[in-house]
Amino acid sequence: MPTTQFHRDSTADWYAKAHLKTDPGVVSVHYLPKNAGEREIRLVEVNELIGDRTDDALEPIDFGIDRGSDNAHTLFVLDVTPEQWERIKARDLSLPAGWSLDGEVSYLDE
Amino acid sequence: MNSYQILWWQQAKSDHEAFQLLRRQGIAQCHLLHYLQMVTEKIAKAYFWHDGSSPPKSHAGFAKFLRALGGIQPLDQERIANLFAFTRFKDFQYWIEKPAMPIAYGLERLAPALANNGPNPEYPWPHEQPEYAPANYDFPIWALLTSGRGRTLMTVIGLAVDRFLEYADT
Repeated sequence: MPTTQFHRDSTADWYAKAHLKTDPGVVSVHYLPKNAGEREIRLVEVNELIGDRTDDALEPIDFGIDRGSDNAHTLFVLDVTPEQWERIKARDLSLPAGWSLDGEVSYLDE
Repeated sequence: MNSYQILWWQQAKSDHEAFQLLRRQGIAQCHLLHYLQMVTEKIAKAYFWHDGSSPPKSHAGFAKFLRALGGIQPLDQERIANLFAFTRFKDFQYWIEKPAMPIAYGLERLAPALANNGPNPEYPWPHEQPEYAPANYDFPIWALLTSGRGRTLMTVIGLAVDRFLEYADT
Protein backbone atom coordinates (compact mmCIF):
# COMPACT_ATOMS: atom_id res chain seq x y z
CA MET A 1 0.00 0.00 0.00
CA PRO A 2 1.25 3.54 -0.70
CA THR A 3 2.64 5.11 2.46
CA THR A 4 2.70 8.77 1.43
CA GLN A 5 -0.17 11.21 2.03
CA PHE A 6 -3.51 9.81 1.01
CA HIS A 7 -4.64 10.08 -2.60
CA ARG A 8 -7.94 8.34 -3.08
CA ASP A 9 -7.72 7.49 -6.77
CA SER A 10 -4.17 6.19 -6.71
CA THR A 11 -4.88 4.15 -3.57
CA ALA A 12 -7.97 2.66 -5.24
CA ASP A 13 -5.83 1.86 -8.27
CA TRP A 14 -3.33 0.08 -6.02
CA TYR A 15 -6.04 -1.97 -4.30
CA ALA A 16 -7.74 -2.94 -7.55
CA LYS A 17 -4.53 -4.14 -9.17
CA ALA A 18 -3.34 -5.94 -6.04
CA HIS A 19 -6.64 -7.76 -5.58
CA LEU A 20 -6.73 -8.81 -9.23
CA LYS A 21 -3.21 -10.12 -8.95
CA THR A 22 -3.52 -12.00 -5.66
CA ASP A 23 -7.11 -13.23 -5.59
CA PRO A 24 -7.67 -16.07 -8.06
CA GLY A 25 -11.46 -15.73 -8.10
CA VAL A 26 -11.54 -12.02 -8.92
CA VAL A 27 -12.06 -11.40 -12.65
CA SER A 28 -12.67 -7.67 -12.53
CA VAL A 29 -12.64 -4.81 -10.05
CA HIS A 30 -14.73 -1.66 -10.42
CA TYR A 31 -13.84 1.51 -8.56
CA LEU A 32 -16.89 3.70 -7.94
CA PRO A 33 -15.77 7.16 -6.82
CA LYS A 34 -19.04 9.07 -7.28
CA ASN A 35 -20.66 10.14 -3.97
CA ALA A 36 -17.85 8.54 -1.95
CA GLY A 37 -16.24 10.55 0.84
CA GLU A 38 -12.76 11.98 0.35
CA ARG A 39 -11.26 9.16 2.37
CA GLU A 40 -13.60 6.44 1.26
CA ILE A 41 -12.85 3.89 -1.46
CA ARG A 42 -15.69 1.85 -2.93
CA LEU A 43 -14.84 -1.25 -4.92
CA VAL A 44 -17.07 -3.84 -6.55
CA GLU A 45 -15.15 -7.10 -7.03
CA VAL A 46 -16.56 -9.63 -9.47
CA ASN A 47 -15.66 -13.07 -8.21
CA GLU A 48 -16.32 -16.23 -10.19
CA LEU A 49 -15.47 -18.58 -7.32
CA ILE A 50 -18.16 -17.62 -4.84
CA GLY A 51 -21.00 -19.60 -6.45
CA ASP A 52 -24.46 -18.29 -7.19
CA ARG A 53 -25.56 -16.08 -4.34
CA THR A 54 -28.89 -14.60 -3.45
CA ASP A 55 -29.10 -10.84 -3.39
CA ASP A 56 -29.18 -10.87 0.43
CA ALA A 57 -25.42 -10.89 0.47
CA LEU A 58 -25.17 -7.64 -1.45
CA GLU A 59 -23.68 -5.60 1.35
CA PRO A 60 -20.18 -4.19 1.26
CA ILE A 61 -17.66 -5.08 3.94
CA ASP A 62 -15.85 -2.07 5.33
CA PHE A 63 -12.30 -1.92 6.63
CA GLY A 64 -10.69 0.98 8.44
CA ILE A 65 -7.12 1.35 7.18
CA ASP A 66 -4.16 3.19 8.70
CA ARG A 67 -6.22 5.10 11.25
CA GLY A 68 -4.32 7.92 12.91
CA SER A 69 -1.99 8.41 9.96
CA ASP A 70 -2.00 10.73 6.94
CA ASN A 71 -3.08 7.71 4.91
CA ALA A 72 -6.21 6.96 6.98
CA HIS A 73 -9.17 5.81 4.90
CA THR A 74 -12.06 3.37 4.74
CA LEU A 75 -12.16 0.61 2.16
CA PHE A 76 -15.55 -0.78 1.17
CA VAL A 77 -15.60 -3.97 -0.90
CA LEU A 78 -18.76 -5.38 -2.44
CA ASP A 79 -18.28 -8.95 -3.70
CA VAL A 80 -20.61 -10.01 -6.50
CA THR A 81 -20.92 -12.92 -8.89
CA PRO A 82 -20.50 -12.34 -12.65
CA GLU A 83 -24.27 -12.78 -13.04
CA GLN A 84 -24.98 -10.17 -10.37
CA TRP A 85 -22.55 -7.74 -12.01
CA GLU A 86 -24.39 -8.10 -15.31
CA ARG A 87 -27.66 -7.33 -13.53
CA ILE A 88 -26.12 -4.33 -11.78
CA LYS A 89 -24.94 -2.94 -15.12
CA ALA A 90 -28.42 -3.54 -16.60
CA ARG A 91 -29.90 -1.63 -13.61
CA ASP A 92 -31.79 -4.80 -12.73
CA LEU A 93 -30.04 -5.11 -9.36
CA SER A 94 -29.40 -2.15 -7.06
CA LEU A 95 -26.07 -1.13 -5.66
CA PRO A 96 -25.89 -0.20 -1.97
CA ALA A 97 -27.55 3.13 -1.17
CA GLY A 98 -25.52 6.06 -2.45
CA TRP A 99 -23.30 3.97 -4.74
CA SER A 100 -23.28 4.82 -8.43
CA LEU A 101 -21.83 3.41 -11.63
CA ASP A 102 -21.28 6.94 -12.96
CA GLY A 103 -17.56 7.59 -13.27
CA GLU A 104 -16.74 3.91 -12.77
CA VAL A 105 -13.14 2.85 -13.37
CA SER A 106 -12.79 -0.80 -14.39
CA TYR A 107 -9.82 -3.12 -13.94
CA LEU A 108 -9.86 -6.46 -15.73
CA ASP A 109 -7.90 -9.64 -15.09
CA GLU A 110 -5.36 -10.10 -17.88
CA MET B 1 -34.70 -22.97 20.72
CA ASN B 2 -33.78 -23.34 24.37
CA SER B 3 -32.61 -20.76 26.91
CA TYR B 4 -28.97 -21.96 26.73
CA GLN B 5 -28.90 -21.29 23.02
CA ILE B 6 -30.27 -17.81 23.52
CA LEU B 7 -27.55 -16.93 26.03
CA TRP B 8 -24.71 -18.16 23.79
CA TRP B 9 -26.26 -16.44 20.77
CA GLN B 10 -26.61 -13.15 22.64
CA GLN B 11 -22.92 -13.24 23.55
CA ALA B 12 -21.92 -14.16 19.98
CA LYS B 13 -24.03 -11.27 18.68
CA SER B 14 -22.40 -8.80 21.03
CA ASP B 15 -18.92 -10.08 20.14
CA HIS B 16 -19.80 -9.69 16.46
CA GLU B 17 -20.88 -6.10 16.98
CA ALA B 18 -17.55 -5.45 18.68
CA PHE B 19 -15.70 -7.10 15.79
CA GLN B 20 -17.46 -4.91 13.22
CA LEU B 21 -16.76 -1.79 15.24
CA LEU B 22 -13.08 -2.67 15.53
CA ARG B 23 -12.83 -3.58 11.83
CA ARG B 24 -14.16 -0.14 10.87
CA GLN B 25 -11.61 1.49 13.15
CA GLY B 26 -8.75 -0.41 11.56
CA ILE B 27 -7.00 -1.30 14.79
CA ALA B 28 -4.35 -4.03 15.14
CA GLN B 29 -5.22 -7.34 13.49
CA CYS B 30 -4.86 -9.27 16.75
CA HIS B 31 -7.92 -7.58 18.25
CA LEU B 32 -10.02 -8.17 15.14
CA LEU B 33 -9.00 -11.81 15.07
CA HIS B 34 -9.57 -12.25 18.78
CA TYR B 35 -13.16 -11.07 18.47
CA LEU B 36 -13.82 -12.99 15.28
CA GLN B 37 -12.49 -16.19 16.84
CA MET B 38 -14.79 -15.64 19.82
CA VAL B 39 -17.79 -15.00 17.58
CA THR B 40 -17.24 -18.22 15.66
CA GLU B 41 -16.68 -20.28 18.80
CA LYS B 42 -19.80 -18.93 20.50
CA ILE B 43 -22.18 -19.17 17.54
CA ALA B 44 -21.07 -22.79 17.13
CA LYS B 45 -21.75 -23.45 20.83
CA ALA B 46 -25.13 -21.72 20.57
CA TYR B 47 -26.02 -24.09 17.74
CA PHE B 48 -24.73 -27.25 19.41
CA TRP B 49 -26.77 -26.52 22.54
CA HIS B 50 -29.88 -27.35 20.48
CA ASP B 51 -30.30 -30.79 22.03
CA GLY B 52 -30.11 -29.31 25.53
CA SER B 53 -26.76 -30.80 26.47
CA SER B 54 -23.51 -28.94 26.90
CA PRO B 55 -21.10 -28.97 23.95
CA PRO B 56 -17.40 -29.60 24.74
CA LYS B 57 -15.57 -26.72 26.45
CA SER B 58 -12.96 -26.74 23.68
CA HIS B 59 -12.33 -23.57 21.66
CA ALA B 60 -12.71 -25.67 18.52
CA GLY B 61 -16.20 -26.07 17.09
CA PHE B 62 -16.59 -23.63 14.23
CA ALA B 63 -15.43 -26.07 11.54
CA LYS B 64 -17.75 -28.71 13.00
CA PHE B 65 -20.58 -26.15 12.96
CA LEU B 66 -20.03 -25.43 9.26
CA ARG B 67 -19.91 -29.16 8.54
CA ALA B 68 -23.17 -29.65 10.43
CA LEU B 69 -24.81 -27.00 8.26
CA GLY B 70 -23.40 -28.68 5.17
CA GLY B 71 -24.80 -32.02 6.32
CA ILE B 72 -28.31 -30.85 7.05
CA GLN B 73 -31.21 -33.17 6.14
CA PRO B 74 -32.62 -32.85 2.59
CA LEU B 75 -35.88 -31.29 3.73
CA ASP B 76 -34.08 -28.21 5.09
CA GLN B 77 -31.26 -27.92 2.57
CA GLU B 78 -32.65 -25.26 0.29
CA ARG B 79 -33.86 -23.12 3.18
CA ILE B 80 -30.48 -23.29 4.91
CA ALA B 81 -28.58 -22.47 1.72
CA ASN B 82 -30.85 -19.46 1.14
CA LEU B 83 -30.44 -18.31 4.75
CA PHE B 84 -26.71 -18.08 4.10
CA ALA B 85 -27.33 -16.30 0.77
CA PHE B 86 -26.49 -19.26 -1.46
CA THR B 87 -28.88 -20.06 -4.27
CA ARG B 88 -28.16 -23.81 -4.30
CA PHE B 89 -27.36 -26.13 -1.42
CA LYS B 90 -24.67 -27.97 -3.40
CA ASP B 91 -22.86 -24.63 -3.88
CA PHE B 92 -23.10 -24.02 -0.14
CA GLN B 93 -21.66 -27.49 0.58
CA TYR B 94 -18.82 -26.98 -1.89
CA TRP B 95 -18.06 -23.57 -0.45
CA ILE B 96 -17.90 -25.01 3.09
CA GLU B 97 -15.55 -27.84 2.16
CA LYS B 98 -13.24 -25.96 -0.20
CA PRO B 99 -12.76 -22.23 0.31
CA ALA B 100 -14.16 -21.89 3.84
CA MET B 101 -12.83 -24.86 5.77
CA PRO B 102 -9.10 -23.96 5.79
CA ILE B 103 -9.94 -20.50 7.09
CA ALA B 104 -12.33 -21.97 9.66
CA TYR B 105 -9.58 -24.22 11.01
CA GLY B 106 -7.20 -21.27 11.00
CA LEU B 107 -9.63 -19.27 13.11
CA GLU B 108 -9.97 -22.14 15.58
CA ARG B 109 -6.20 -22.41 15.93
CA LEU B 110 -5.98 -18.76 16.95
CA ALA B 111 -7.24 -19.60 20.45
CA PRO B 112 -4.11 -19.66 22.66
CA ALA B 113 -4.99 -23.15 23.91
CA LEU B 114 -4.89 -24.44 20.32
CA ALA B 115 -2.11 -22.24 18.95
CA ASN B 116 0.65 -24.66 19.90
CA ASN B 117 2.77 -21.95 21.52
CA GLY B 118 2.66 -20.00 18.25
CA PRO B 119 0.77 -17.06 16.76
CA ASN B 120 -2.33 -16.15 18.73
CA PRO B 121 -4.12 -12.83 19.17
CA GLU B 122 -3.76 -12.57 22.95
CA TYR B 123 -0.32 -13.37 24.37
CA PRO B 124 3.31 -12.96 23.26
CA TRP B 125 4.88 -16.20 22.07
CA PRO B 126 6.63 -18.57 22.49
CA HIS B 127 5.75 -18.71 26.15
CA GLU B 128 9.24 -19.64 27.39
CA GLN B 129 11.16 -16.95 25.52
CA PRO B 130 8.74 -14.56 23.82
CA GLU B 131 9.83 -13.22 20.45
CA TYR B 132 6.55 -11.83 19.14
CA ALA B 133 3.74 -9.64 20.44
CA PRO B 134 0.34 -10.12 18.81
CA ALA B 135 -0.12 -6.35 18.44
CA ASN B 136 2.86 -6.13 16.06
CA TYR B 137 2.28 -9.35 14.17
CA ASP B 138 1.05 -9.60 10.60
CA PHE B 139 -1.24 -12.65 10.78
CA PRO B 140 -1.38 -14.66 7.53
CA ILE B 141 -5.00 -15.55 8.29
CA TRP B 142 -5.97 -11.87 8.23
CA ALA B 143 -4.69 -11.65 4.66
CA LEU B 144 -6.88 -14.66 3.84
CA LEU B 145 -9.88 -13.12 5.56
CA THR B 146 -9.57 -9.91 3.58
CA SER B 147 -9.42 -11.81 0.26
CA GLY B 148 -12.57 -12.61 -1.70
CA ARG B 149 -13.13 -15.97 -0.04
CA GLY B 150 -12.40 -14.55 3.38
CA ARG B 151 -14.86 -11.73 2.88
CA THR B 152 -17.48 -14.31 1.89
CA LEU B 153 -16.76 -16.14 5.14
CA MET B 154 -17.14 -12.88 7.07
CA THR B 155 -20.50 -12.35 5.39
CA VAL B 156 -21.59 -15.89 6.27
CA ILE B 157 -20.48 -15.43 9.88
CA GLY B 158 -22.58 -12.25 10.01
CA LEU B 159 -25.59 -14.12 8.62
CA ALA B 160 -25.00 -16.99 11.04
CA VAL B 161 -25.33 -14.50 13.88
CA ASP B 162 -28.13 -12.34 12.47
CA ARG B 163 -30.29 -15.27 11.34
CA PHE B 164 -29.58 -17.67 14.18
CA LEU B 165 -33.22 -17.78 15.27
CA GLU B 166 -34.17 -19.10 11.83
CA TYR B 167 -31.96 -22.19 11.97
CA ALA B 168 -31.26 -22.74 15.68
CA ASP B 169 -33.54 -25.78 15.86
CA THR B 170 -32.56 -27.28 12.52
